[in-house]
Amino acid sequence: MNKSDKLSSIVVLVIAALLLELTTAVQYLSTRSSITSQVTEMAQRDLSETNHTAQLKEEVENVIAQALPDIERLTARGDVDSVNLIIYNLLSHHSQIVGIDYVDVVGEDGERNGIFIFKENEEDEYTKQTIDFDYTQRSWYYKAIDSDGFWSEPYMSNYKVILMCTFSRAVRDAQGNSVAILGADIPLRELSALATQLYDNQHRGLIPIILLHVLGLMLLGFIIYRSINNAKRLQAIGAEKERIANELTIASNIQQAMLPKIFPPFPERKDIDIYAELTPAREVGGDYYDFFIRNEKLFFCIGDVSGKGVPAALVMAVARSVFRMLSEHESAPERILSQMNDSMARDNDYNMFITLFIGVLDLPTGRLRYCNAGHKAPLIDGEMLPIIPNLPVGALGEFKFAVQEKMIDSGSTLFLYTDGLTEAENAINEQFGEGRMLKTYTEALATDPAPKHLIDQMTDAVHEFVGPTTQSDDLTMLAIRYFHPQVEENLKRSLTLPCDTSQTPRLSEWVEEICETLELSPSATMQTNLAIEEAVVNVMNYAYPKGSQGEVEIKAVANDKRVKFKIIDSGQPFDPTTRGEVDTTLSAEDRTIGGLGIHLIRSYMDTINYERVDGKNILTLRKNIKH
Amino acid sequence: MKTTFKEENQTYVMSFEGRLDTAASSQVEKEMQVLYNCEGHDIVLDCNQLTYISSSGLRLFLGLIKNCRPKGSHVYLTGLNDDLRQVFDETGFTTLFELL
Repeated sequence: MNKSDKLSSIVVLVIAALLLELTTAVQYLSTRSSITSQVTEMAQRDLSETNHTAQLKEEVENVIAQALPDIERLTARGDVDSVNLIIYNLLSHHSQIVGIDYVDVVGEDGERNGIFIFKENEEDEYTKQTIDFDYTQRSWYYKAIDSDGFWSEPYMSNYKVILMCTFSRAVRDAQGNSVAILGADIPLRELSALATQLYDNQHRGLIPIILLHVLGLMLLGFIIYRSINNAKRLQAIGAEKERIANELTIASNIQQAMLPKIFPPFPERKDIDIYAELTPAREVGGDYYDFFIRNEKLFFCIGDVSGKGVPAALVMAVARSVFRMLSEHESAPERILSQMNDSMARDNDYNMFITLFIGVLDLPTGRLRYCNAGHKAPLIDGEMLPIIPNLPVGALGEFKFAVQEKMIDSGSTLFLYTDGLTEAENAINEQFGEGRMLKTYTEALATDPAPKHLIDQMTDAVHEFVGPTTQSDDLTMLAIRYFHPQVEENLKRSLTLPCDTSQTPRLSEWVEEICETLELSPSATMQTNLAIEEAVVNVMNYAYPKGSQGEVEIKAVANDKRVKFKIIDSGQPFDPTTRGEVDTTLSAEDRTIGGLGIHLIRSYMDTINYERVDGKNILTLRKNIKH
Repeated sequence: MKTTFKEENQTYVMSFEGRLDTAASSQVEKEMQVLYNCEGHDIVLDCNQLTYISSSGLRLFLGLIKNCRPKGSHVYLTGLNDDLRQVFDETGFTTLFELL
């Protein structure tokens, strides 16, 4: 809640409080006046029924009648002071009269004049008050003018909080005209007491009202307090939201960093051109791709984790690490998938799975071995690559994945994607679909066969199709273009040996002759010799079971740039490149006898590459020739 | 491959001449047995005439060290040419021997 919202809420609350108070005040005042009028009515009824009152009335009439002649005489003389004295006298001798009015009869000039003398309190103190209100409307005035006396109805005195009646007589001159009115105020003590009682009650009634108001204000205070707390809570939630958004941004960056992003990735290589793009639907997602080259083989994969967002991203990160670790030592895609599957199916409480396509492309020959796990078939040469679906990774442990093979022609482009591409929807829920994808693929390659061009065209096509709708799924594409290496060979040799380590001198002789022809330095010759001996001796020792006779064939080809040796045997499958690295820093006690051979081969040859083809192990070693 | 053995002042000296490749290693292994009774003796492996060594030969040297060091003997290497020195460096064997 921002500042202006808070302010307007408080203003609303204050206005509501004031209205409440106003209503209460109005109600209070109207109640008071209605009670007063009711009480007055009651008093009027009672008056006519009480004997005591009747007696009182007679007494008062007599008193006034007795005093009247003197007052008339003094009035005619204009002796106001003496009139006052008489009035004081009357008051002090008759306690039932509480006040006396003496007013002039108003003439044509409209001038009013009058006094009111009354007993202030229980002591004998009298106060003389000039009458300042318009008495001509009072009944005790106009009724007395033409009568022999008038008793008014009970009414509320102007000067005291009492109900009273006034007995008034006209003061006449010698001609019998009324020149003044004399009125005696008689309090209706019983009624007055009642009235006072009522007022006391009303005052007592004030305390609960005050309490209610206090309660009301407390309630108000409580509401304001809660509002402020809510405002603080909303602020905290806002801050939390911002923190989460920041963390998602960082997570997104980390995830993007896991993908090979530098293109072209192998600029020095002429046999491969790769481009890839991944756009997640949310900050982080479950799509991923990966590729790298090891021992002249291109390992690549594309995958799609079930779901979206953070959960999918976590599974993706694990899958990526597992893939990389396994392919350090394993070149067979079906074995990589099988081990990934077992490991992921094991701890899979949430039944997350990944659709995956893995390929291992042998770069010297163009032989692609691939294994699909529930993923969509890639495109190649204008059609979809035939695939065995198998199952997604992580779905079922111990599943046996079937591997497939294809020779890739030089110049072909393999296009891999996730279903975010084919299932991209436009505003009317149509899907982009395989038809449009295939068409775009064919058209793009016809214009410019580069992978980047293909992906750019595909991206444009999808965006145009989808229009302004938000992307609902991760969009991932990987394009690989392969060129078969063309090399002119100007040396070709071959040697076949039985599996007998005593033959190594013959091997050395053969190798040294080749090196001499290629004009290699003595060091390079020795290194080549050593590497070939280790490789061949390895085959002799391990390829064939003990006791059986086998052969090993060595072929050599060379050009200006490099010499290539192929060591071929028909023994049991054995890939020396997957044996672990030797730790050369160990002490003598900790060193093991094995592994030295492969270590030397790796040290002295520039590339080492193993393939199993048609029941034969083929180990290819290459050494660059420096001139 | 030819080996020559002699004893000098409580030190066994074995000289290697030629190529110590896989073929030669089985024979050399037998000839090196005499060094294994090395209590109270140091050993010098003279490689001045050694032109080539492969992993089988390296294994023989390693086996010697594993046997004789615990018995308190020093095992020295001498006369390695540059190429062979590189092989020993590559495989980390240089750290295992004391070079003269």
